[in-house]
Amino acid sequence: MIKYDYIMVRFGELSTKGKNKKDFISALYLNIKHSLKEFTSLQIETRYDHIYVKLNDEDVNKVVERLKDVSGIQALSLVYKVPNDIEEIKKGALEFIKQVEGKTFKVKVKRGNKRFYMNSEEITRVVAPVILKNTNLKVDVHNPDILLNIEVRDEGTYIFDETIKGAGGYPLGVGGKAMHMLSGGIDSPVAAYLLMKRGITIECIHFASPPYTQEAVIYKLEDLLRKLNRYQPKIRLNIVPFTKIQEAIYDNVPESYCITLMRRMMYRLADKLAKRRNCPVISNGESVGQVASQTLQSIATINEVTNTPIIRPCATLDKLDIIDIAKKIDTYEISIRPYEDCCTIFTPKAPKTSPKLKDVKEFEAKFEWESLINEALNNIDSKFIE
Amino acid sequence: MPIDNLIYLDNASTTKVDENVLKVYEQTHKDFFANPSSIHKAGQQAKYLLDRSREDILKIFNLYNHQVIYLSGATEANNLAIKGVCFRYKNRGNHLITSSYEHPSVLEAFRQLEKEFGYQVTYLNPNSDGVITKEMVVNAITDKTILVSIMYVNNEIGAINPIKEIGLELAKYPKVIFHTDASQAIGKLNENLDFSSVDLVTISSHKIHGLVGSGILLKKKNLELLPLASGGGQEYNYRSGTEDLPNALATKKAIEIAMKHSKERYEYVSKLADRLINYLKSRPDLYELNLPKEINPYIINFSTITKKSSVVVEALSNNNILVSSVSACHSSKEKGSYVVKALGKEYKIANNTIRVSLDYLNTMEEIEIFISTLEKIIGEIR
Repeated sequence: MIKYDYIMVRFGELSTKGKNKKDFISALYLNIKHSLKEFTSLQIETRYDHIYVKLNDEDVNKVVERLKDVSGIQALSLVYKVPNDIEEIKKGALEFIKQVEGKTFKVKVKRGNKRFYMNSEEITRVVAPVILKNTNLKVDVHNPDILLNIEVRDEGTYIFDETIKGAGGYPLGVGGKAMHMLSGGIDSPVAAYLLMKRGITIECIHFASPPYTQEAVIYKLEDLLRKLNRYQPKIRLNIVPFTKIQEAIYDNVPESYCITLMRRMMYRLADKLAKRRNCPVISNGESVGQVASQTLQSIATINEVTNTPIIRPCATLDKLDIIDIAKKIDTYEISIRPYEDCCTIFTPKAPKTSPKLKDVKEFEAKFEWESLINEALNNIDSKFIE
Repeated sequence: MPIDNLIYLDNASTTKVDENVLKVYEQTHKDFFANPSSIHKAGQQAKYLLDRSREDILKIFNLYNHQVIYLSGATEANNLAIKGVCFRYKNRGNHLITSSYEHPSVLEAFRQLEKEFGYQVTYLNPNSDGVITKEMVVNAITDKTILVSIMYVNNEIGAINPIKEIGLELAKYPKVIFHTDASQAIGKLNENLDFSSVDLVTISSHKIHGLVGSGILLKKKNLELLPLASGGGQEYNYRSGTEDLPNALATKKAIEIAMKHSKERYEYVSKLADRLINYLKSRPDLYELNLPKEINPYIINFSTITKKSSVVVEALSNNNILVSSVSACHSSKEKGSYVVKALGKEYKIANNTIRVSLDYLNTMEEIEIFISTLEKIIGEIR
């Protein structure tokens, strides 16, 4: 086994981001630093085009596992360092390539240290035959399985390939913050994850209606957010007391319209809290057509309460695809715990799938809900999950 | 952080441990920690205490032909009794009899025997009094029957089965072995517990103010079981693993206290139950009682007619009053209580049951608070 010296972190789409690049890299640097904080002997170095994680004595596999969850990383390369000596380079390249899977290879040399006594082409011409002679690998210059990079620098020569895929997306935080409506079901944690992958930080809002919803739901939410802490280390959870609003709706509105009104109230609360916490957008786990309140007509009628953009990362995903992601990020088993939540109680037998705005406004004129909204906002229970 | 001012009315689920039981447990850990299977003197002393405790338990129940097997709880005791008999006596026949309202640790054991090992099981449904009668059992017996397992007290509605009577009747069928799960019966009945005609009896510690994780199986001496855990041959070879003396002595203590005070506690709890039942009866517009013919004051089961019981239970919990909703409270898989259905109740009643399980630690004041809070909640929730 060869011992890797560095992990080279390659950036994703941010290479194209021009003058913002510096901010992106520093955000990524901080996120990497945070996610690797338990590895005390690591050193993290930022360069113009890559971030290098110097491993020292840390376990490379554990560090890689952690880095795979950091959004904004396109790929990771394990780097092997040898002295600037052609015999060492030949030996190192051979050892390195033996540990990588593939049938074909190409050697790509970059000579940053111009004082080195061989040029790039010369190095390629001596290294490639060594590999051909000592392995079953064949050369393919157009589409190689293994692209063996050799970089000669002042301090030594780096040997690496590009095999490990990162999470992609943007570094968390550079995309700003969304007020995310978290129900505890399967979809909303998946939506949260997809947002984080795009570099958006989230803060969560949950509507609790005790005793119609169970206290234990809060434990469920905390467990879910703890899973999402892998992607966002600190998440604020706001629990809004929703019972009085829900009861008022139930008392004043025909059964088939309850869900529409309920969702409109939730959006109003999310909107007010979003403004208070400087979130320019609201997000949630809605998926078009999944339930009565998620038909296009319903979404339009519900959405009418606010101008704030609503981001719905799951909007067009199939339920099965959402479940696949939930399983991948380990939230599925928590989400399917059978607690009652806002969406499953007060469920009318025939909810409106095409609620009309005119009717909705008439019902809303029938009872005093503004004060209930303000009362709920003033009694939010808020905590950080980290 | 512990929750203050709880009104705990869920004593059929588990009970608060008795201080004296806890003391025995701690003291035994401190003073007699040696392995009872060791041959040195501390080990032998521990073994002596262990064997003495077995004798004491048998004496409490006036049993002379039984043995005490210490186990990790009623679940293990039920599994050992049922599977132990089936595997040991499989050559005698493959038919088994139980009731449809047993605890899952009995029902699931039977289902496993049915599915994986080819046994045939008759599940007896309780009659409209909530009871399994001697006649029902006898009528189900075939020449292949090797085991009957009927619980003493049903945990959901408190129905009391005629265990002694069934046992005496089954004595006429020497091939048939009789097991009862007496978890809800110890120290909680107004009748003498007579297990002399029962081959196997399951007793749980934590239902009688003992410790979680301990229980016993009383077994007739001449009866053999195939052990489920093989090893060093402890507990008459029926349950290998280092003997747990502190737990054994704590269990003995719990049984001793429960049996010693059973009469006075029964009378006391009956008064609480009477008050509660009278209240529930006074509001037939709100509640329907789901009681067996012979009322068991320790378990009062009723349904909410106007409101969803799971919401009522949650609201009670938010008011620090703890009861259980026996129905499946999850809207996604509502089934209703099959036990209450057996009493002849319709789906809506069986689906909205609440179980109040009382204890001598409860007070009349708590019952009054429960009653007033319940009525308030019913009036408030939608």
